[in-house]
Amino acid sequence: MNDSYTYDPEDIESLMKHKSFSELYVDERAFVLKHIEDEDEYESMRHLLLSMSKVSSDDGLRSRPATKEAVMAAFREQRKRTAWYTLNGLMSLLVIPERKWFLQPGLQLAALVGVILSVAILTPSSKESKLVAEADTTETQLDQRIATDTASFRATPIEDNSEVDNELQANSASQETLELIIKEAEESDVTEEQFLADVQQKKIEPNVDDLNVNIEDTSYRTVFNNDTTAESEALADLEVALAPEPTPTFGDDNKVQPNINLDSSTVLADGLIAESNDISAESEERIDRVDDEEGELIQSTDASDYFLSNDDVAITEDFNVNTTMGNSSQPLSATYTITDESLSNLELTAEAEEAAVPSGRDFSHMLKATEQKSLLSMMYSAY
Amino acid sequence: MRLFRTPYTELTDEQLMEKAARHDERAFSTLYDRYSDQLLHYFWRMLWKDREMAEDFLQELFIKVAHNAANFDGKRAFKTWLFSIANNMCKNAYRHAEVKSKAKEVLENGKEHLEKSRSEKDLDHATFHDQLEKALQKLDTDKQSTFRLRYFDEMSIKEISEALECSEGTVKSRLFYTLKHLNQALKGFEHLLKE
Repeated sequence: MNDSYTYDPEDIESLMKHKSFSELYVDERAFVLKHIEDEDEYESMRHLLLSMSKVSSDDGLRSRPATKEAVMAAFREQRKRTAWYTLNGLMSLLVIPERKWFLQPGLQLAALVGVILSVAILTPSSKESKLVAEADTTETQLDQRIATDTASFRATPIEDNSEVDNELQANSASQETLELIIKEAEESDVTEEQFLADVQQKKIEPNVDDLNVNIEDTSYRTVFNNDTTAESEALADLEVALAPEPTPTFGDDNKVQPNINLDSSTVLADGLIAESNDISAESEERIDRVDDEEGELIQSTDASDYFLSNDDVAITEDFNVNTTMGNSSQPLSATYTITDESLSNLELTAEAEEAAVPSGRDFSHMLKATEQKSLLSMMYSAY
Repeated sequence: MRLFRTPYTELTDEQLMEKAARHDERAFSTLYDRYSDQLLHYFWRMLWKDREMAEDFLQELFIKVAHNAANFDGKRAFKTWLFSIANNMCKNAYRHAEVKSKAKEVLENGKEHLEKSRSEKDLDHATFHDQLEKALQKLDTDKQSTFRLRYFDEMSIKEISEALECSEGTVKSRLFYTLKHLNQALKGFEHLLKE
Protein backbone atom coordinates (compact mmCIF):
# COMPACT_ATOMS: atom_id res chain seq x y z
CA MET A 1 0.00 0.00 0.00
CA ASN A 2 1.24 3.35 -0.96
CA ASP A 3 1.16 5.58 2.11
CA SER A 4 2.33 8.70 0.33
CA TYR A 5 -0.43 11.32 0.15
CA THR A 6 -0.95 12.88 -3.26
CA TYR A 7 -2.22 16.46 -3.74
CA ASP A 8 -3.72 18.17 -6.74
CA PRO A 9 -3.74 21.88 -7.62
CA GLU A 10 -6.95 22.52 -5.72
CA ASP A 11 -5.26 21.26 -2.65
CA ILE A 12 -2.57 23.86 -3.27
CA GLU A 13 -5.36 26.43 -3.30
CA SER A 14 -6.58 25.07 0.00
CA LEU A 15 -3.11 25.12 1.44
CA MET A 16 -2.59 28.68 0.24
CA LYS A 17 -5.82 29.85 1.86
CA HIS A 18 -4.97 28.40 5.24
CA LYS A 19 -1.22 28.09 5.56
CA SER A 20 1.85 30.10 4.75
CA PHE A 21 4.80 28.31 3.26
CA SER A 22 6.53 28.12 6.63
CA GLU A 23 3.46 26.46 8.14
CA LEU A 24 3.41 23.62 5.63
CA TYR A 25 4.37 20.13 6.69
CA VAL A 26 7.21 18.40 4.98
CA ASP A 27 5.07 16.33 2.68
CA GLU A 28 2.84 19.36 1.91
CA ARG A 29 5.87 21.43 1.11
CA ALA A 30 7.19 18.68 -1.13
CA PHE A 31 3.89 18.57 -2.99
CA VAL A 32 3.75 22.37 -3.39
CA LEU A 33 7.26 22.53 -4.73
CA LYS A 34 6.32 20.10 -7.49
CA HIS A 35 4.05 22.78 -9.01
CA ILE A 36 5.58 26.01 -7.75
CA GLU A 37 9.14 27.11 -8.18
CA ASP A 38 9.90 28.37 -4.72
CA GLU A 39 8.66 29.88 -1.49
CA ASP A 40 8.37 33.39 -2.97
CA GLU A 41 6.03 32.30 -5.72
CA TYR A 42 3.93 30.43 -3.19
CA GLU A 43 3.60 33.52 -1.01
CA SER A 44 2.90 35.78 -4.01
CA MET A 45 0.15 33.50 -5.29
CA ARG A 46 -1.24 33.23 -1.78
CA HIS A 47 -1.58 37.00 -1.48
CA LEU A 48 -3.26 37.23 -4.87
CA LEU A 49 -5.70 34.52 -3.96
CA LEU A 50 -6.65 36.18 -0.70
CA SER A 51 -7.19 39.52 -2.45
CA MET A 52 -9.80 38.01 -4.80
CA SER A 53 -12.53 38.15 -2.14
CA LYS A 54 -12.01 41.90 -1.83
CA VAL A 55 -12.24 42.29 -5.59
CA SER A 56 -15.52 40.36 -5.86
CA SER A 57 -17.31 42.38 -3.20
CA ASP A 58 -16.62 45.92 -4.23
CA ASP A 59 -18.49 46.11 -7.54
CA GLY A 60 -21.84 47.39 -6.19
CA LEU A 61 -23.71 46.68 -9.43
CA ARG A 62 -27.50 46.31 -9.47
CA SER A 63 -29.61 45.39 -12.45
CA ARG A 64 -31.95 48.08 -13.75
CA PRO A 65 -35.72 47.81 -13.31
CA ALA A 66 -36.18 48.40 -17.02
CA THR A 67 -34.28 45.22 -17.72
CA LYS A 68 -36.62 43.25 -15.51
CA GLU A 69 -39.69 44.78 -17.15
CA ALA A 70 -38.39 43.83 -20.56
CA VAL A 71 -37.70 40.30 -19.37
CA MET A 72 -41.15 39.89 -17.82
CA ALA A 73 -42.81 41.25 -20.96
CA ALA A 74 -40.91 38.69 -22.98
CA PHE A 75 -42.06 35.99 -20.55
CA ARG A 76 -45.73 36.98 -20.99
CA GLU A 77 -45.34 37.09 -24.74
CA GLN A 78 -43.79 33.68 -24.68
CA ARG A 79 -46.74 32.34 -22.69
CA LYS A 80 -49.21 33.63 -25.29
CA ARG A 81 -47.09 32.30 -28.10
CA THR A 82 -46.98 28.87 -26.52
CA ALA A 83 -50.78 28.73 -26.37
CA TRP A 84 -51.00 29.80 -30.02
CA TYR A 85 -48.41 27.24 -31.04
CA THR A 86 -50.44 24.55 -29.33
CA LEU A 87 -53.53 25.60 -31.27
CA ASN A 88 -51.55 25.82 -34.50
CA GLY A 89 -50.14 22.38 -33.88
CA LEU A 90 -53.66 21.00 -33.55
CA MET A 91 -54.79 22.76 -36.71
CA SER A 92 -51.80 21.48 -38.64
CA LEU A 93 -52.81 17.97 -37.62
CA LEU A 94 -56.40 18.45 -38.74
CA VAL A 95 -55.81 20.29 -42.01
CA ILE A 96 -53.07 19.22 -44.42
CA PRO A 97 -52.99 21.48 -47.48
CA GLU A 98 -51.31 18.88 -49.68
CA ARG A 99 -54.19 16.43 -49.37
CA LYS A 100 -57.55 16.45 -51.13
CA TRP A 101 -60.55 17.63 -49.19
CA PHE A 102 -61.92 14.16 -48.56
CA LEU A 103 -58.55 13.01 -47.24
CA GLN A 104 -58.30 15.77 -44.68
CA PRO A 105 -57.88 14.33 -41.17
CA GLY A 106 -60.21 16.97 -39.76
CA LEU A 107 -63.04 15.95 -42.08
CA GLN A 108 -62.46 12.28 -41.40
CA LEU A 109 -62.43 12.92 -37.68
CA ALA A 110 -65.66 14.92 -37.92
CA ALA A 111 -67.29 12.11 -39.90
CA LEU A 112 -66.18 9.58 -37.30
CA VAL A 113 -67.57 11.72 -34.51
CA GLY A 114 -70.85 12.05 -36.44
CA VAL A 115 -71.14 8.29 -36.85
CA ILE A 116 -70.43 7.71 -33.18
CA LEU A 117 -73.00 10.32 -32.15
CA SER A 118 -75.61 8.85 -34.50
CA VAL A 119 -75.07 5.38 -33.10
CA ALA A 120 -75.18 6.73 -29.58
CA ILE A 121 -78.44 8.57 -30.23
CA LEU A 122 -80.19 5.82 -32.17
CA THR A 123 -79.10 2.98 -29.95
CA PRO A 124 -81.13 2.79 -26.76
CA SER A 125 -79.05 3.32 -23.76
CA SER A 126 -78.33 0.52 -21.37
CA LYS A 127 -80.75 2.09 -18.94
CA GLU A 128 -83.56 2.04 -21.48
CA SER A 129 -82.70 -1.53 -22.44
CA LYS A 130 -82.87 -2.49 -18.81
CA LEU A 131 -86.30 -0.89 -18.47
CA VAL A 132 -87.56 -2.67 -21.58
CA ALA A 133 -86.22 -5.97 -20.28
CA GLU A 134 -87.88 -5.36 -16.93
CA ALA A 135 -91.16 -4.55 -18.67
CA ASP A 136 -90.94 -7.76 -20.73
CA THR A 137 -90.21 -9.76 -17.62
CA THR A 138 -93.12 -8.19 -15.81
CA GLU A 139 -95.43 -8.90 -18.72
CA THR A 140 -94.31 -12.52 -18.83
CA GLN A 141 -94.79 -12.85 -15.11
CA LEU A 142 -98.25 -11.35 -15.38
CA ASP A 143 -99.14 -13.77 -18.17
CA GLN A 144 -97.94 -16.68 -16.09
CA ARG A 145 -99.82 -15.41 -13.09
CA ILE A 146 -102.99 -14.98 -15.11
CA ALA A 147 -102.64 -18.50 -16.46
CA THR A 148 -102.08 -19.86 -12.96
CA ASP A 149 -105.00 -17.91 -11.56
CA THR A 150 -107.25 -19.08 -14.37
CA ALA A 151 -106.32 -22.69 -13.73
CA SER A 152 -106.89 -22.31 -10.02
CA PHE A 153 -110.15 -20.47 -10.71
CA ARG A 154 -111.43 -23.37 -12.76
CA ALA A 155 -110.55 -25.79 -10.07
CA THR A 156 -112.18 -23.73 -7.37
CA PRO A 157 -115.74 -25.11 -7.70
CA ILE A 158 -114.47 -28.59 -6.93
CA GLU A 159 -112.57 -27.35 -3.92
CA ASP A 160 -115.52 -25.23 -2.89
CA ASN A 161 -117.82 -28.20 -3.16
CA SER A 162 -115.64 -30.21 -0.94
CA GLU A 163 -115.51 -27.37 1.50
CA VAL A 164 -119.28 -27.08 1.31
CA ASP A 165 -119.60 -30.75 1.94
CA ASN A 166 -117.29 -30.56 4.88
CA GLU A 167 -119.17 -27.66 6.31
CA LEU A 168 -122.45 -29.36 5.78
CA GLN A 169 -121.13 -32.44 7.43
CA ALA A 170 -119.96 -30.39 10.35
CA ASN A 171 -123.15 -28.42 10.76
CA SER A 172 -125.67 -31.11 10.14
CA ALA A 173 -126.43 -34.40 11.71
CA SER A 174 -124.74 -37.54 10.63
CA GLN A 175 -125.75 -38.65 7.17
CA GLU A 176 -125.36 -42.19 8.21
CA THR A 177 -127.87 -41.69 10.99
CA LEU A 178 -130.28 -40.09 8.59
CA GLU A 179 -129.91 -42.89 6.10
CA LEU A 180 -130.52 -45.34 8.88
CA ILE A 181 -133.75 -43.62 9.83
CA ILE A 182 -134.89 -43.50 6.22
CA LYS A 183 -134.14 -47.16 5.84
CA GLU A 184 -136.04 -48.02 8.98
CA ALA A 185 -138.95 -45.91 7.81
CA GLU A 186 -139.06 -47.65 4.51
CA GLU A 187 -138.92 -51.06 6.10
CA SER A 188 -141.63 -50.29 8.59
CA ASP A 189 -143.91 -48.54 6.10
CA VAL A 190 -143.89 -45.45 8.19
CA THR A 191 -146.02 -42.57 7.02
CA GLU A 192 -144.63 -39.27 6.05
CA GLU A 193 -146.05 -37.65 9.13
CA GLN A 194 -144.41 -40.23 11.32
CA PHE A 195 -141.17 -39.85 9.50
CA LEU A 196 -141.12 -36.11 9.97
CA ALA A 197 -142.01 -36.45 13.58
CA ASP A 198 -139.23 -38.97 13.96
CA VAL A 199 -136.83 -36.66 12.33
CA GLN A 200 -137.91 -33.80 14.57
CA GLN A 201 -137.65 -35.96 17.60
CA LYS A 202 -134.17 -37.06 16.79
CA LYS A 203 -133.29 -33.56 15.71
CA ILE A 204 -131.68 -34.68 12.56
CA GLU A 205 -131.07 -32.13 9.95
CA PRO A 206 -131.41 -33.37 6.41
CA ASN A 207 -128.44 -33.15 4.19
CA VAL A 208 -128.93 -30.27 1.92
CA ASP A 209 -126.72 -31.88 -0.67
CA ASP A 210 -129.60 -34.19 -1.34
CA LEU A 211 -131.85 -31.25 -2.04
CA ASN A 212 -130.25 -30.13 -5.22
CA VAL A 213 -132.56 -27.81 -6.98
CA ASN A 214 -132.28 -26.43 -10.39
CA ILE A 215 -132.29 -22.77 -9.67
CA GLU A 216 -131.64 -21.57 -13.13
CA ASP A 217 -134.79 -19.64 -12.66
CA THR A 218 -133.63 -16.88 -10.41
CA SER A 219 -136.84 -14.93 -10.44
CA TYR A 220 -137.15 -15.49 -6.72
CA ARG A 221 -134.48 -12.93 -6.29
CA THR A 222 -136.93 -10.15 -7.02
CA VAL A 223 -139.82 -11.39 -4.94
CA PHE A 224 -139.06 -8.97 -2.12
CA ASN A 225 -137.45 -6.32 -4.13
CA ASN A 226 -138.51 -2.75 -3.56
CA ASP A 227 -137.94 -2.01 -7.17
CA THR A 228 -141.44 -2.47 -8.58
CA THR A 229 -140.20 -2.66 -12.09
CA ALA A 230 -137.77 -5.36 -11.28
CA GLU A 231 -140.45 -7.01 -9.20
CA SER A 232 -142.94 -7.08 -12.03
CA GLU A 233 -140.35 -8.47 -14.33
CA ALA A 234 -139.49 -11.06 -11.79
CA LEU A 235 -143.11 -12.02 -11.43
CA ALA A 236 -143.45 -12.41 -15.14
CA ASP A 237 -140.39 -14.59 -15.17
CA LEU A 238 -141.78 -16.60 -12.33
CA GLU A 239 -145.04 -17.19 -14.14
CA VAL A 240 -143.16 -18.40 -17.13
CA ALA A 241 -141.02 -20.54 -14.93
CA LEU A 242 -144.02 -22.02 -13.16
CA ALA A 243 -145.94 -22.72 -16.33
CA PRO A 244 -144.32 -26.11 -16.94
CA GLU A 245 -144.52 -26.76 -13.26
CA PRO A 246 -140.80 -27.19 -12.70
CA THR A 247 -140.07 -29.95 -10.34
CA PRO A 248 -137.13 -29.82 -8.09
CA THR A 249 -134.84 -32.71 -8.42
CA PHE A 250 -133.25 -34.28 -5.47
CA GLY A 251 -130.20 -36.31 -4.97
CA ASP A 252 -128.71 -35.58 -8.32
CA ASP A 253 -125.11 -34.82 -7.65
CA ASN A 254 -124.42 -34.11 -11.23
CA LYS A 255 -126.66 -31.09 -11.17
CA VAL A 256 -125.14 -27.73 -10.90
CA GLN A 257 -124.96 -26.80 -7.31
CA PRO A 258 -127.20 -23.88 -6.42
CA ASN A 259 -125.72 -20.80 -4.99
CA ILE A 260 -126.69 -21.66 -1.48
CA ASN A 261 -125.87 -19.45 1.38
CA LEU A 262 -125.57 -22.14 3.97
CA ASP A 263 -125.37 -19.74 6.83
CA SER A 264 -128.77 -18.41 6.09
CA SER A 265 -130.52 -21.12 4.16
CA THR A 266 -131.43 -24.42 5.58
CA VAL A 267 -134.60 -26.38 5.63
CA LEU A 268 -135.25 -27.53 9.10
CA ALA A 269 -137.64 -29.85 10.71
CA ASP A 270 -140.25 -28.47 13.02
CA GLY A 271 -138.74 -26.63 15.92
CA LEU A 272 -135.29 -26.94 14.64
CA ILE A 273 -133.46 -23.87 13.64
CA ALA A 274 -129.88 -23.99 12.67
CA GLU A 275 -127.70 -22.47 15.30
CA SER A 276 -125.79 -20.55 12.75
CA ASN A 277 -128.94 -18.98 11.47
CA ASP A 278 -131.07 -18.65 14.50
CA ILE A 279 -132.87 -15.51 13.57
CA SER A 280 -136.35 -16.68 14.42
CA ALA A 281 -135.95 -15.91 18.09
CA GLU A 282 -134.46 -12.59 17.36
CA SER A 283 -137.01 -11.77 14.74
CA GLU A 284 -139.89 -12.52 17.11
CA GLU A 285 -139.07 -9.33 18.89
CA ARG A 286 -138.83 -7.46 15.69
CA ILE A 287 -142.07 -8.63 14.14
CA ASP A 288 -144.13 -5.65 13.34
CA ARG A 289 -147.58 -5.89 11.86
CA VAL A 290 -149.72 -3.06 10.62
CA ASP A 291 -153.44 -3.57 9.98
CA ASP A 292 -156.05 -1.23 8.64
CA GLU A 293 -159.28 -0.33 10.38
CA GLU A 294 -161.01 -3.47 9.15
CA GLY A 295 -158.22 -5.64 10.39
CA GLU A 296 -156.81 -6.35 6.99
CA LEU A 297 -153.10 -6.79 6.79
CA ILE A 298 -151.29 -3.84 5.37
CA GLN A 299 -147.74 -4.54 6.21
CA SER A 300 -145.90 -7.00 8.29
CA THR A 301 -142.36 -8.02 8.82
CA ASP A 302 -143.58 -11.53 9.38
CA ALA A 303 -143.98 -13.26 6.08
CA SER A 304 -146.19 -15.87 7.68
CA ASP A 305 -148.79 -13.21 8.12
CA TYR A 306 -149.03 -13.05 4.43
CA PHE A 307 -148.88 -16.77 3.97
CA LEU A 308 -151.51 -17.81 6.49
CA SER A 309 -154.03 -15.15 5.67
CA ASN A 310 -154.30 -16.27 2.12
CA ASP A 311 -155.08 -19.73 0.73
CA ASP A 312 -152.70 -19.04 -2.06
CA VAL A 313 -149.91 -18.59 0.26
CA ALA A 314 -147.30 -21.04 -0.53
CA ILE A 315 -143.69 -21.27 -1.08
CA THR A 316 -141.80 -20.73 -4.18
CA GLU A 317 -140.35 -23.75 -5.75
CA ASP A 318 -136.90 -22.69 -4.69
CA PHE A 319 -137.50 -21.53 -1.16
CA ASN A 320 -136.83 -24.85 0.26
CA VAL A 321 -133.16 -24.69 -0.37
CA ASN A 322 -132.42 -21.10 -0.88
CA THR A 323 -133.92 -18.52 1.28
CA THR A 324 -131.64 -15.73 0.38
CA MET A 325 -134.29 -13.74 -1.25
CA GLY A 326 -134.23 -10.34 -2.75
CA ASN A 327 -131.30 -9.14 -4.68
CA SER A 328 -127.81 -8.34 -3.74
CA SER A 329 -128.70 -4.82 -2.66
CA GLN A 330 -131.57 -6.00 -0.48
CA PRO A 331 -130.83 -9.45 0.74
CA LEU A 332 -133.51 -11.21 2.65
CA SER A 333 -132.77 -14.11 4.88
CA ALA A 334 -135.60 -16.28 5.90
CA THR A 335 -135.94 -19.45 7.83
CA TYR A 336 -138.73 -21.76 7.09
CA THR A 337 -139.90 -24.04 9.80
CA ILE A 338 -142.10 -26.99 9.49
CA THR A 339 -144.33 -26.76 12.53
CA ASP A 340 -147.35 -28.82 11.75
CA GLU A 341 -147.71 -32.39 12.80
CA SER A 342 -148.97 -33.42 9.44
CA LEU A 343 -148.51 -32.22 5.95
CA SER A 344 -152.16 -31.31 5.69
CA ASN A 345 -151.71 -28.77 8.45
CA LEU A 346 -148.43 -27.69 7.25
CA GLU A 347 -147.64 -24.25 8.45
CA LEU A 348 -144.98 -22.20 6.93
CA THR A 349 -143.49 -19.21 8.54
CA ALA A 350 -141.08 -16.90 7.03
CA GLU A 351 -139.29 -14.53 9.18
CA ALA A 352 -137.41 -11.99 7.34
CA GLU A 353 -134.92 -9.41 8.12
CA GLU A 354 -136.79 -6.37 9.22
CA ALA A 355 -134.91 -4.01 7.06
CA ALA A 356 -135.40 -6.10 4.01
CA VAL A 357 -139.13 -6.76 4.26
CA PRO A 358 -141.05 -4.60 1.81
CA SER A 359 -144.52 -3.37 2.40
CA GLY A 360 -147.70 -4.22 0.48
CA ARG A 361 -146.38 -7.33 -1.10
CA ASP A 362 -148.45 -9.37 -3.42
CA PHE A 363 -147.96 -13.07 -2.83
CA SER A 364 -150.53 -14.16 -5.35
CA HIS A 365 -147.85 -15.57 -7.46
CA MET A 366 -146.91 -18.06 -4.88
CA LEU A 367 -147.86 -21.67 -4.98
CA LYS A 368 -151.01 -23.01 -3.51
CA ALA A 369 -151.09 -25.16 -0.46
CA THR A 370 -151.64 -28.25 -2.52
CA GLU A 371 -148.55 -27.54 -4.52
CA GLN A 372 -146.78 -26.89 -1.32
CA LYS A 373 -147.84 -30.27 -0.07
CA SER A 374 -146.64 -32.00 -3.17
CA LEU A 375 -143.33 -30.28 -2.89
CA LEU A 376 -142.84 -31.32 0.66
CA SER A 377 -143.90 -34.81 -0.24
CA MET A 378 -141.14 -34.91 -2.73
CA MET A 379 -138.81 -33.79 0.00
CA TYR A 380 -140.04 -36.55 2.14
CA SER A 381 -139.43 -39.09 -0.55
CA ALA A 382 -135.95 -37.79 -0.87
CA TYR A 383 -135.47 -38.32 2.83
CA MET B 1 -54.09 19.86 3.59
CA ARG B 2 -51.86 22.90 3.80
CA LEU B 3 -53.64 26.11 4.58
CA PHE B 4 -50.91 28.34 3.27
CA ARG B 5 -48.61 27.98 0.33
CA THR B 6 -44.87 28.09 0.82
CA PRO B 7 -43.59 31.57 -0.07
CA TYR B 8 -41.91 31.67 -3.44
CA THR B 9 -38.73 33.02 -1.87
CA GLU B 10 -38.41 29.79 0.12
CA LEU B 11 -38.75 27.55 -2.91
CA THR B 12 -35.69 26.08 -4.52
CA ASP B 13 -34.49 27.21 -7.91
CA GLU B 14 -35.72 24.00 -9.46
CA GLN B 15 -39.19 24.31 -7.93
CA LEU B 16 -39.47 27.87 -9.18
CA MET B 17 -38.32 26.83 -12.61
CA GLU B 18 -40.92 24.09 -12.67
CA LYS B 19 -43.61 26.67 -11.96
CA ALA B 20 -42.16 29.06 -14.52
CA ALA B 21 -42.34 26.28 -17.08
CA ARG B 22 -46.09 26.23 -16.36
CA HIS B 23 -46.18 29.96 -17.12
CA ASP B 24 -46.06 31.07 -13.50
CA GLU B 25 -44.98 34.67 -13.87
CA ARG B 26 -44.36 35.12 -10.17
CA ALA B 27 -41.96 32.18 -10.08
CA PHE B 28 -40.06 33.54 -13.02
CA SER B 29 -39.89 36.95 -11.40
CA THR B 30 -38.50 35.39 -8.21
CA LEU B 31 -35.77 33.63 -10.18
CA TYR B 32 -34.86 36.86 -11.87
CA ASP B 33 -34.56 38.66 -8.55
CA ARG B 34 -32.43 35.85 -7.15
CA TYR B 35 -29.81 35.81 -9.90
CA SER B 36 -29.99 39.07 -11.84
CA ASP B 37 -27.36 40.96 -9.83
CA GLN B 38 -24.93 38.05 -9.72
CA LEU B 39 -25.23 37.53 -13.44
CA LEU B 40 -24.93 41.22 -14.09
CA HIS B 41 -21.60 41.15 -12.27
CA TYR B 42 -20.54 38.12 -14.22
CA PHE B 43 -21.38 39.70 -17.55
CA TRP B 44 -19.87 42.99 -16.49
CA ARG B 45 -16.56 41.37 -15.64
CA MET B 46 -16.58 39.02 -18.57
CA LEU B 47 -17.55 41.71 -21.07
CA TRP B 48 -14.87 44.23 -20.36
CA LYS B 49 -16.83 45.90 -17.58
CA ASP B 50 -19.28 47.27 -20.06
CA ARG B 51 -22.40 48.00 -18.01
CA GLU B 52 -24.75 48.46 -20.95
CA MET B 53 -23.51 45.33 -22.56
CA ALA B 54 -23.88 43.44 -19.30
CA GLU B 55 -27.49 44.64 -18.96
CA ASP B 56 -28.24 43.56 -22.51
CA PHE B 57 -26.69 40.18 -21.93
CA LEU B 58 -28.61 39.79 -18.68
CA GLN B 59 -31.90 40.56 -20.45
CA GLU B 60 -31.04 38.25 -23.30
CA LEU B 61 -30.12 35.50 -20.89
CA PHE B 62 -33.45 35.60 -19.05
CA ILE B 63 -35.40 35.75 -22.29
CA LYS B 64 -33.60 32.55 -23.31
CA VAL B 65 -34.58 31.05 -19.98
CA ALA B 66 -38.22 32.01 -20.56
CA HIS B 67 -38.19 30.45 -24.02
CA ASN B 68 -36.52 27.25 -22.87
CA ALA B 69 -38.22 26.86 -19.53
CA ALA B 70 -40.11 23.82 -20.77
CA ASN B 71 -36.83 22.20 -21.84
CA PHE B 72 -35.19 22.60 -18.46
CA ASP B 73 -33.93 19.33 -17.03
CA GLY B 74 -35.16 19.15 -13.47
CA LYS B 75 -32.31 16.84 -12.51
CA ARG B 76 -29.83 19.56 -13.22
CA ALA B 77 -29.08 22.47 -10.91
CA PHE B 78 -30.69 25.65 -12.19
CA LYS B 79 -27.78 27.82 -11.16
CA THR B 80 -25.22 25.86 -13.16
CA TRP B 81 -27.61 25.75 -16.11
CA LEU B 82 -27.97 29.50 -15.90
CA PHE B 83 -24.24 30.12 -15.76
CA SER B 84 -23.52 27.69 -18.56
CA ILE B 85 -25.87 29.75 -20.78
CA ALA B 86 -24.13 32.91 -19.61
CA ASN B 87 -20.72 31.40 -20.34
CA ASN B 88 -21.76 30.38 -23.83
CA MET B 89 -23.11 33.87 -24.44
CA CYS B 90 -19.79 35.30 -23.40
CA LYS B 91 -17.91 32.94 -25.69
CA ASN B 92 -20.04 34.10 -28.58
CA ALA B 93 -19.38 37.67 -27.62
CA TYR B 94 -15.65 37.02 -27.62
CA ARG B 95 -15.80 35.44 -31.05
CA HIS B 96 -17.67 38.39 -32.49
CA ALA B 97 -15.25 40.79 -30.91
CA GLU B 98 -12.13 38.91 -31.96
CA VAL B 99 -11.08 41.43 -34.56
CA LYS B 100 -11.88 44.29 -32.26
CA SER B 101 -9.99 42.54 -29.54
CA LYS B 102 -6.82 42.45 -31.57
CA ALA B 103 -7.10 46.10 -32.35
CA LYS B 104 -7.95 46.73 -28.76
CA GLU B 105 -4.95 44.70 -27.64
CA VAL B 106 -2.65 47.04 -29.49
CA LEU B 107 -4.34 49.97 -27.83
CA GLU B 108 -4.28 48.27 -24.44
CA ASN B 109 -0.57 47.52 -24.82
CA GLY B 110 0.13 51.16 -25.33
CA LYS B 111 -2.19 52.04 -22.55
CA GLU B 112 -0.68 49.36 -20.35
CA HIS B 113 2.66 50.87 -20.93
CA LEU B 114 1.33 54.23 -19.77
CA GLU B 115 -0.37 52.63 -16.77
CA LYS B 116 2.79 50.79 -15.94
CA SER B 117 4.70 53.97 -15.84
CA ARG B 118 2.01 55.49 -13.75
CA SER B 119 1.81 52.46 -11.38
CA GLU B 120 5.38 52.88 -10.60
CA LYS B 121 4.44 56.20 -9.09
CA ASP B 122 1.11 55.64 -7.35
CA LEU B 123 -0.21 52.13 -7.26
CA ASP B 124 -3.62 51.78 -5.77
CA HIS B 125 -6.33 49.19 -5.61
CA ALA B 126 -8.21 50.60 -8.55
CA THR B 127 -5.24 50.16 -10.72
CA PHE B 128 -4.78 46.66 -9.45
CA HIS B 129 -8.41 45.80 -10.32
CA ASP B 130 -8.03 47.20 -13.79
CA GLN B 131 -4.87 45.19 -14.30
CA LEU B 132 -6.51 42.08 -12.98
CA GLU B 133 -9.39 42.44 -15.45
CA LYS B 134 -7.05 42.99 -18.27
CA ALA B 135 -5.00 39.97 -17.30
CA LEU B 136 -8.13 37.83 -17.04
CA GLN B 137 -9.43 38.95 -20.41
CA LYS B 138 -6.22 37.85 -21.98
CA LEU B 139 -6.98 34.32 -20.90
CA ASP B 140 -9.21 32.00 -22.88
CA THR B 141 -12.91 32.01 -22.06
CA ASP B 142 -12.95 28.72 -20.16
CA LYS B 143 -10.11 29.67 -17.80
CA GLN B 144 -11.51 33.14 -17.35
CA SER B 145 -15.03 31.85 -16.60
CA THR B 146 -13.70 29.22 -14.26
CA PHE B 147 -11.66 31.76 -12.35
CA ARG B 148 -14.51 34.27 -12.13
CA LEU B 149 -17.08 31.70 -11.09
CA ARG B 150 -14.72 30.35 -8.47
CA TYR B 151 -13.40 33.54 -6.88
CA PHE B 152 -15.88 36.24 -7.80
CA ASP B 153 -19.14 34.29 -7.70
CA GLU B 154 -17.92 31.86 -5.06
CA MET B 155 -19.20 28.73 -6.78
CA SER B 156 -17.94 25.31 -5.76
CA ILE B 157 -15.75 23.15 -7.95
CA LYS B 158 -18.70 20.85 -8.58
CA GLU B 159 -21.03 23.67 -9.59
CA ILE B 160 -18.43 25.08 -11.92
CA SER B 161 -17.87 21.71 -13.50
CA GLU B 162 -21.61 21.39 -14.13
CA ALA B 163 -21.95 24.93 -15.40
CA LEU B 164 -19.04 24.63 -17.76
CA GLU B 165 -19.82 20.99 -18.54
CA CYS B 166 -16.36 19.70 -17.67
CA SER B 167 -14.78 17.49 -15.01
CA GLU B 168 -13.89 18.72 -11.56
CA GLY B 169 -10.23 17.92 -12.23
CA THR B 170 -10.28 20.22 -15.24
CA VAL B 171 -11.76 22.99 -13.11
CA LYS B 172 -9.00 22.55 -10.50
CA SER B 173 -6.31 22.56 -13.11
CA ARG B 174 -7.74 25.67 -14.77
CA LEU B 175 -7.90 27.47 -11.47
CA PHE B 176 -4.32 26.68 -10.54
CA TYR B 177 -2.82 27.70 -13.84
CA THR B 178 -4.97 30.83 -14.06
CA LEU B 179 -3.78 31.87 -10.62
CA LYS B 180 -0.20 31.18 -11.61
CA HIS B 181 -0.64 33.22 -14.78
CA LEU B 182 -2.21 36.15 -12.93
CA ASN B 183 0.58 36.05 -10.41
CA GLN B 184 3.02 36.53 -13.23
CA ALA B 185 0.93 39.25 -14.88
CA LEU B 186 0.41 41.22 -11.66
CA LYS B 187 3.97 40.95 -10.42
CA GLY B 188 4.25 44.69 -9.96
CA PHE B 189 1.46 44.72 -7.36
CA GLU B 190 3.14 42.38 -4.90
CA HIS B 191 3.73 45.02 -2.35
CA LEU B 192 0.10 46.13 -2.57
CA LEU B 193 -1.18 42.60 -2.11
CA LYS B 194 1.03 42.02 0.91
CA GLU B 195 -0.51 44.99 2.76
